[in-house]
Amino acid sequence: MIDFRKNADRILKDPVVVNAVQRATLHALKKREETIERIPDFEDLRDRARLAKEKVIGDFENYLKLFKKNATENGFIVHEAGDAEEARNLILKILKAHGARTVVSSKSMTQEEIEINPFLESHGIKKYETDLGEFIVQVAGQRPSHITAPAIHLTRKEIARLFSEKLGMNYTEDPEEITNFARNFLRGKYFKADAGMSGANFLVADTGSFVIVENEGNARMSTTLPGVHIVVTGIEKLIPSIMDLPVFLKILAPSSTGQRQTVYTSIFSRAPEGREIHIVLIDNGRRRMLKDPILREALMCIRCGGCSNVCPIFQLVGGHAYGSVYSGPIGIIWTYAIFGHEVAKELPFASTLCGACREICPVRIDIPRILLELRRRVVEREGGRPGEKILINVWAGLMTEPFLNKIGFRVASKVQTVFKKGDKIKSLPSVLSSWTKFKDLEPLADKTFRELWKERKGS
Amino acid sequence: MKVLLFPTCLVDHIKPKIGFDTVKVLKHYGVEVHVPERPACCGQIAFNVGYWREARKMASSWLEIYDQPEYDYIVAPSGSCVHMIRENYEILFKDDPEKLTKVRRIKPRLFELVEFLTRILKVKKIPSKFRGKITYHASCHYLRGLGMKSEPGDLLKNIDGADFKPMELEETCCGFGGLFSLKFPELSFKMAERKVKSMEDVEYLTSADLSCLLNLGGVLSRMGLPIRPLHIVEILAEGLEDD
Ligand code: SF4
Repeated sequence: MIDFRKNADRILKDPVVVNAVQRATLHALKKREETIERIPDFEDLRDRARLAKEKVIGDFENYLKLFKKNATENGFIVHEAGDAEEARNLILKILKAHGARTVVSSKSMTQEEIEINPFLESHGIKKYETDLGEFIVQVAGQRPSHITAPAIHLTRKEIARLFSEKLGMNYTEDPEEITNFARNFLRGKYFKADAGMSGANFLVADTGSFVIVENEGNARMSTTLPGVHIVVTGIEKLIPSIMDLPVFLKILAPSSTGQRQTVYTSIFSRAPEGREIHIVLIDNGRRRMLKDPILREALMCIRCGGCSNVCPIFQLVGGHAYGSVYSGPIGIIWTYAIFGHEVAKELPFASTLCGACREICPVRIDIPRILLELRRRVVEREGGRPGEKILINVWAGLMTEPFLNKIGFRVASKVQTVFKKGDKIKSLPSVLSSWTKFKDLEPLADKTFRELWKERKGS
Repeated sequence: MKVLLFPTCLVDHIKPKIGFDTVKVLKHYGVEVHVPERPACCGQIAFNVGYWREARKMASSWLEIYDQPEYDYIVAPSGSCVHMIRENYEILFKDDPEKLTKVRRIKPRLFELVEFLTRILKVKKIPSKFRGKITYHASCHYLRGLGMKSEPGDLLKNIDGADFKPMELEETCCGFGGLFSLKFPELSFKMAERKVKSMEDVEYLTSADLSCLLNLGGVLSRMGLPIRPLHIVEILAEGLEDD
């Protein structure tokens, strides 16, 4: 089980991470604001994107069928994988057929989801991440801490140290020099690689094309230099038509990094002569989400990472606290849906339901509503936590039975004097000590408002 | 105009003064106020943490008390309680047509106090005698749920003796989140601390939700900072003629 509280508390003790995450997320938000100001029809674009995604969700199998048909006609080789294991084996089979020993790959959360790297490694295939952030995380032996900015938790200093220790870079903290070093290191790999892998941002049903957006040009290199290209993608990436694509491209980058547009947008519409392009479509729990009246909305996510940037909890602890490839508010939902109740049952509670995620989400996913539903399911399945359950039941009794309320209030306001220091409560026992460990508490009044009101009216 | 007051459980049991100040402000505008005798809680503390059965129990009792057609409006000095009833009761009673009818009957007549003042009574300026430097925390459900963005600040700015100083992180959650504050105490504290640190050169912190003020106030007090939390109605009611 993922223990969010333990993870978060550990990270909170590391001011370097807390500051790095805060700086990066606030920077992206500020840029988003500035960019959106220059897109007068941004709200309208959000509605249109949402509508397009609703269309897909509403008639999913037909759109998928259409995509597969068109993609096959375009010369792509389309595969489907029901779960992660099937996907891994499929990919391995393709790589083996090409005798691949070295693979270059551009950023893909779906590849992280199916844990392809250690699997390929165990079969003697070395896979290099070519997205700078993802590459850094790979060298550090960690997992991405943000959906779109994987190394958001690391500072320039840490990256400099990492590269000089593990890759023999001459120590420098100059970002340009670090980037150049990584670029040169990876360039060698591109030309040696036997295969390229990538994810996809969009699968276009009516043209059978797939779309990759990126900033570094590494996806282009990874997908075009080696002899075979494998696209690993979730089936939810479908959009109905190429006519919808501009709408999505206009909202994705601003919501993500705050850029007007990403630097590179590649639309793959035909497999070139003599090169194989495989598309591995992954279900891994997505059809289950589709059948779930509440969870299905989460399939509309375009993975912009905006909800992470704006989340007051994510801003403090970053993605690693969530213990999953999918972090931040929407990541909670995805982790629960894909990896299941037992793994993720604590995660839905790691939110104050402040609603900032719903407000920023370019496709208007009602994240707090889904979290509420997941909490209900967790409590229903687990029967609730003992201390918490008692607390809530006592509360419900006190708030619905006038007699209990009167007695309970009397007793509590007497008992509290033991814990009072001056006009505040400084320490409390049991469950409530969680509060007083960090904060003072306002004591109960001597008489309730209703009692006082009655007295005043009587006088 | 007859109004039924929902003091909210926190105000009722912890800060009765907020209840009286609410009455004071309403009376100032000629509203007749009634207070039910029975205790009530909207149930969000249970609902938000997944205990829908217990939430339903509280919500049913709330409906029984407040579904009284002879009152023109129901007013509460809390954004999050109003949000709970307005947004979540229909989810809670999805399969209970009788309760659903009640909820729909009540919803259009239910308002948070500042919302009621600005949207129904069209108040622009309150003759409050409050003096001092105030900053404002936008509670989440109030801001994003009820859409109360500029109204509270506008009222505060228009108080002659008050110096209104917006804080940098006005719209960032304070970290209360109901039982969230007990489940993740350290994180909740850090969230509140971050907000508190962004308040500069002010004497009072105000908000439309007592829950947030208890949270932020608890941190202010523990840190020994000289900023006093006050509910927005305590500021608006200051110096208004008592009936
Ligand atoms: S849920 Fe919305 S805001 Fe969050 S990553 Fe997905 S599309 Fe972006």
